Order: sequence, then C-alpha cells, then structure tokens
Amino acid sequence: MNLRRISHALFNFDAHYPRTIIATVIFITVLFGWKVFDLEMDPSLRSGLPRDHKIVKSMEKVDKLFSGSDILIVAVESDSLFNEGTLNKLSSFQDSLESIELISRVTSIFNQKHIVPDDNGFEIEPLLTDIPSDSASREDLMKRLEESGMIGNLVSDDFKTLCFIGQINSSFEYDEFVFRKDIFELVNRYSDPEDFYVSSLPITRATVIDYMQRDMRVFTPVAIGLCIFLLMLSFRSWTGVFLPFFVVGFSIIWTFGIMGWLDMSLAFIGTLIPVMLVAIANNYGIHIISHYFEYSRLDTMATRGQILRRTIRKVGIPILLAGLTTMVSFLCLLSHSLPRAREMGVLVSFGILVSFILSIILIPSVLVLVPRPQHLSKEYDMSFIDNFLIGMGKLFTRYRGVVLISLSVISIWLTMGIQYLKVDTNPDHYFPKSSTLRIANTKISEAFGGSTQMNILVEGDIFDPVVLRNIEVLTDHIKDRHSIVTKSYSIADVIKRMHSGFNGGDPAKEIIPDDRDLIHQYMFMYSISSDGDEFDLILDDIEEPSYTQILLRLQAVKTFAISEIVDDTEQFIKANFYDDSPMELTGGATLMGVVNHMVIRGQFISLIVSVIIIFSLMTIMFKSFTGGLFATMPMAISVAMMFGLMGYMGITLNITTSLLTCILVGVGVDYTVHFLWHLRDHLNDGDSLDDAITNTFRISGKGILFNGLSVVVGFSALLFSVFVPVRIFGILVMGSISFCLFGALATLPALTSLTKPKFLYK
Amino acid sequence: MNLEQKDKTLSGIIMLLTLAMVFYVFSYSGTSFDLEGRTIKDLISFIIEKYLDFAIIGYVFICFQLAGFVELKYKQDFITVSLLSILLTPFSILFILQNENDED
Repeated sequence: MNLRRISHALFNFDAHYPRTIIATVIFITVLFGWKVFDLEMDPSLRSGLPRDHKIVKSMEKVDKLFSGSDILIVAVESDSLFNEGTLNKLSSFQDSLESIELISRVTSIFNQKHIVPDDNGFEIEPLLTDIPSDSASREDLMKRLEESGMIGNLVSDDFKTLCFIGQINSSFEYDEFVFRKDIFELVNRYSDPEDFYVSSLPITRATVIDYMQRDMRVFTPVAIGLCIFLLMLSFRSWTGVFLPFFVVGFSIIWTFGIMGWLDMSLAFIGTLIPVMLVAIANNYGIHIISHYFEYSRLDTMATRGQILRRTIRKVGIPILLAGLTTMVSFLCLLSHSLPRAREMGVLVSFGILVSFILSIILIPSVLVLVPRPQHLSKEYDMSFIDNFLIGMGKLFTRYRGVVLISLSVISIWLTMGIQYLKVDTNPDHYFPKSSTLRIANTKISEAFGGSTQMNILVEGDIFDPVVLRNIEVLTDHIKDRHSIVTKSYSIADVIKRMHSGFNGGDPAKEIIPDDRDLIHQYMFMYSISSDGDEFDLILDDIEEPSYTQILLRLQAVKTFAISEIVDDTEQFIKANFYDDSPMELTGGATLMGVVNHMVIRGQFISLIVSVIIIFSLMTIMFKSFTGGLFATMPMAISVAMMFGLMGYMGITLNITTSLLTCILVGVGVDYTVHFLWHLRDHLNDGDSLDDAITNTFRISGKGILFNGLSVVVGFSALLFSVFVPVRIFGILVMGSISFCLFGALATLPALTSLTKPKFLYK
Repeated sequence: MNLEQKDKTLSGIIMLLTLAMVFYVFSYSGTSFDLEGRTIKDLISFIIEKYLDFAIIGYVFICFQLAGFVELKYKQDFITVSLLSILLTPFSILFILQNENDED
C-alpha cells in the first residue's frame, strides 16, 4: 500500500473538484437529514433487553400468568387521615386508580380483607366496611388495622400515611410516559390539602428518560457552543472554527439519518451519540486546520495548493490511525450483551468514519476555494502558545527523570483507588435530594419499606406442604440475609394465617399444615367468602395452582445488593431445593440488577479488548512492540487513574459511566499517535532527537493541544446535566482526557529522550 | 471543458438536485404553517415561549456566518466582527465596512 500515492490522489481529487465535493456532501446531508425527522424515540424497556436472557423470559411468563410484576405505590399523608371527609375522598381516589387501564388491582385499606377466627373456623371480612363517622368507629378501625398486621404495609405506624399498591398488568408492553402522565393527572386532581407521593420503578425509568431527552437538548448546543468558543480562540478564523464544526454537524445528521433510513428507533442510550460526536468528530478537522495554518505561516510564499498537499501528506496517516483507534474502541461494544449498546457502538463508529472522510475530503475542498485568514501573514500573535509548548517540551526532556518518577508515583497512587470502586446503580441517586421523585421514594421507603418489588416464580404443586415449606424457608432466608428486603408476601403467609385462624387465632398454629387436603379446604373456604380475585397476583389458578410467585419488597433499587440477592438465592435454591419444584428470580428490579452488572462486566471486557486491539494496531503501524507500548500506555494509565479516582471519590460505576469510558480509550490514544508519528517524521527529516521534539511541539503541538482541549470543553457540557452522576462523570472525563493530553505532551518527550527508542528511527 | 468548468457544472447539477429534493420533502411531508388569524406579535411570542433556545442558536449561527463572509471577503478580524455582529446585530457590520471604505 503506497500511502503517499493515496494522499497524492486524494489531494488531486480535492483540488480539482472542490465544488462538486461540497455540493455532493450537501446533497447527501439533505438525503440523510430528510429521515432525521422521521426518527422515533423508543423509551420502552423491551427493545433494549437481551431477549434470550432467562430473567426476561421468566418476566414474560409472569406477565402471562399473573399479569405483570411491577407495582405502583401512592402514599397519602395527612394529619387528619382518618376523618370522614378524607376517607371518602380517598375511597373515590381508589376507584379512579382502579379505572386506569394498566392497573390490574389496587390494594389499600378500602378493599383489603382479613381473616377473623369464628366457631366454624374463620371468616374473611373487609377491613373497612363503612367509613367511620365518629371517634369510636375510628378507634375501632385503627384497632382492626393493628390486629390484621396492616401497619407498615398499608398504613404507617403513626396513622398519618396510608398507601395504595397498584399492580401494573404488564412488564414491557406499555408506554411508561403515558402511564406516568395518567397517574400524575389523577394524583394532581386529588392532592391538597393531603400530600400525595408516587413511586414506581416504571415512573422512575420514564423520568430518567425524560431528563435524558432534556439533557440532549441542552448538551448538544452547549457542547457545540463551547467548542466554537475554543476554536475561535485557537484559530481566530471562520475556516478554523466552522470547517471542523460542519464536519461534526454533518456526521451527527448522517448518523441519525442512517438510523431513519434503516427504520431504527432512538433509545434513551442513543441520546449520548451527539455529545460523543461533538467531542470526538472535530478532532481530525482540527489537526488538518492546525497544520494548514502552521505550514502557511512557515512558508508564506507557497500557494494554497502546495500547503494543502503538504498538510494532507503529513497528517493523513496520523488522523487515519486516530480515527481507526476510536472506531475500534466503539466497535468493541459489539461484545456487549445489551442490543442497544451494540447498536450505539456501531452508530458512533459510523459517525466517526463519516467525520474522518469529511475531514480529509470536505475540509481541503473548502480550503482550496477560500483565501487563508489574514492573520497568518502577520507577525504572529500565537507565539505565546508556541513558546509555551516548546518550553514545555524542553522542560520535560531536561528534567525527564523527575517528571517520569513524579508521574509514576501519582498514577500508581490514583490507580490504587480501583480497589474502592463500586459497581452500583440506584436510579434514585441520579436525582438531587430535593427532587420530587426522590422525596416520594424516600417517604414511601420510610413508611412502607420501599416501592420496588422482586419476584420469585415457583412451579409445581403449590398446595403441596413441601412446596409451601420451601417457599417459607426461602423467604425467611432472604429476609434474614438481606436487610434491603423489608417485606414479603406469598401464598405460604396466607395459608399460615388461615391455619392459625382456623385454630382460634392461636399464634403457635401459624404454620404450614401437613395435610394437602386441609390446605385445599382452606383455600376453598377463603374463595367462597371473598370475591375470589385476591390471589390473582400470587396464584395462576385458585383451585389447582401450578405456579405461584413470592413478592419481596425492597427498600431501594440498589443493583449491587440486588445482584447479591440473586446470586445468594440461586445458590440457596440449588443447595436446598435442587430436586424440588423449580424456583427462579424474576421481576423488573431483578432484571435491572442483573442486567446492570452484566453490562458493566461486558463493558470492562470490551475495554480490555479495545486496549489490546489498539495496542496491536499501534505495534503494526510503528512496526515495533515498544512503539505500540509507547502509544497505548498513557491512555491505558489514564483509564486506570480515572477508575481509581472514582474509587477514592466514592463515585459508583454504572451503565452511563462505563459506556462513556469508550471515549477515553478511543480519544486518549489520539494524542500519543500524533506526537509519535510527527516526532518520527522530524527524525526521518534529519533532526536530532531534541530538535525533533521541539519541532513536533512547534508544528503539531497546537493541533494536539486544541484537539485535547476541544474534547475537554465538549464534555464540560455534561456539567449541565440533570443527573448528579453524569455531572460528576463529566468532571472525571475532563480530568482523564487532560491526563491523556498531559501524558502525550509530558511523558512521551521525557520517555523518548530517556530511552531513545529504535522504532522512531525506522 | 477545463477541470474548473467541469467542476462548476457538476456542482451546479448536484445543487439543483438538492434543491429539488428539499422542495419535494417539504411539499410531501404535509408540513403546513397555519398562520390564519395570527399576528406577527403572536408568532414572535410563540417562538420566544417554545423555541427561544433554537432562535438564539439560529441568530448566533447566522451572525457567525456573516462574520466569516466579511472575514474572507473583506479581510476583517473574525473574532471582532463576530462579537460586534452578535452584540449589535449583523447590521453593525455595514458600519465597519463603511468605515473601512471611508478610510481607504
């Protein structure tokens, strides 16, 4: 492959057909842009899930058997909760809540029944037959609530808060936004003077997606604005600012356009695509412009064509390598378990490919047509940056020992922080403490032990005492071992209460009876003295059930804790009930916990794979193992330092933060590639090593610096995020990119002058 | 036909195609602007209320492009012209150019 010939042909194409190239790019952009408007947002959970995952399959089974596994909790707080007027109002609220299509059943004190022992065994009576109108009947109701064990379940222990628990009748097939809108419209109608708090995992999910969309609307213009500001200060000309900017804009339009043409939808994770492209896609253009300006200034007599030819020859390969490594880091997302993450990897890679192609075709075409900025011919004003960079190069080569030892100590100390790094995702913590959603979740968690539910699906002869005892043992084990599980509900609890009731309410008899027929009779008695739909949630059939589910209430959605519960429970089931009825964990919270950890594990693997591939690429390009090591090391150390810093600062690793690390791998290596490539070029031109380092800083230093700064500035847009971890992560990425930049501009001059590696002289 | 003419002809054809496509997209997309009964004031209030961010971005973008044109055509400093254009509206560029002509 003769790269020189390719760059020559490319230049000729740019120089001979500049207008045609510009017109063609505009044509293709309109063609792609046409479909951008047809792009649909897809916030649903289903589209982003690995379809063959066992929890997804069991959730689908739960949907069919028990109509959904997610719950909605509405808590109502008032000092006069048990007043006649308030209770009448809340009774009407219960009816309205039940009328919402997605809610299959609402449990509250208004419809909850309890078991009352009598001479014939037991009776099933409603907790609330009539709304109490005087203090005596109110006292009576409170006493009944206490005796029935509803305190902490449906009413708080201070009798100031009660809750409505709605069962959502689908796990996937519904619009969470419409659901949230319906619920809040209803709640707003009833709230005041009472305080209403709404909490549910689907509502949290919808709010997260909503805020992400808002973030995208804010991020993109802010990031672009900041980049424009930086480019203005750097290049002081329209060509320097807007040519890289147009490349970014076109790459975003082409990426979203191809999604539109392929009938793809935009998932919530896809909202990160513009931020990533704004930060990355202008890099190639910046290097071309920077070198074009620098060569123009050094040789004022040369024509635009001559300068461009030289620019393309010098920067073509390093920017190709930079683009290739960034694409590789994103394509490694293909190893992800989440389809949406794989999709994003391919799309961002496509955007980067577009930006690379446009940078080497469109930018030179425009540069051929427009005059060079006036300031390039003047006695120049950028001598400060030049002097700073050259001085920096000299300083780092002169004090190379001190520089390398100091940097090694700092990086080892920061990397040690990895041991404190925690993997966790609690969607509540995305929001500031003052947010309505977090206040509601905290309130409900304090009064009723949480609003999130984990489910365990049990298959077999459910009325078999052995199966019921297994359920009891498993539930007790989970509650004992995991404090996050605050409450549980299963058919075993109901049978025990009925057995106790049948024996005159004797607490000692609150056990699973040994006789299957007796259990069957209890259930029959219960069904004839009630509506018969009380067990829809936990039994697939009231007479001969073959499936049941255990419901576990969680205090908070802590994926780390959920993952521990899943692992521990699966081990417990295998160890104790291996030959018995199959039991499997299911439900939205379980899925979230398991998938999150799967994603983050996958992300770590893809990170390592991408670092190895990038290292191999660099080794091939520099035809040296040391070359590969020199090019990859600053980036790899920066990634480790960032994780270490997260560990020290107590920032947890979650889906968003782990996905964004791709950028660090892809972009971090660019600076070292440019530095080493140009350094080798200068050495091949006959410069001594010291002169070559100085000339690299003089000619390419600004490109590397502006490139790094534009990424840092681009990511500073994350500071405007609604989400707390994204804001913190924005700071971390900015810091890490700065580490990479510093690694290229400080470590490499010191390291190369110390070791004088042979690959630079090849 | 020399290369430059060939380039101009080809680009002209492609731009015409692009324009035709833009017209096609707009005419078949069903996009309609219902302005009946609306005053300019209503329209401005609507834009300020709903799309203020887009309006500001659009304004700044136009200012930058005009500043770029003035920089390349009249060899003015891009940063100065951009800032003047954004702060004092693009009409201020006319005064700069007038002033330049007077000085010449």
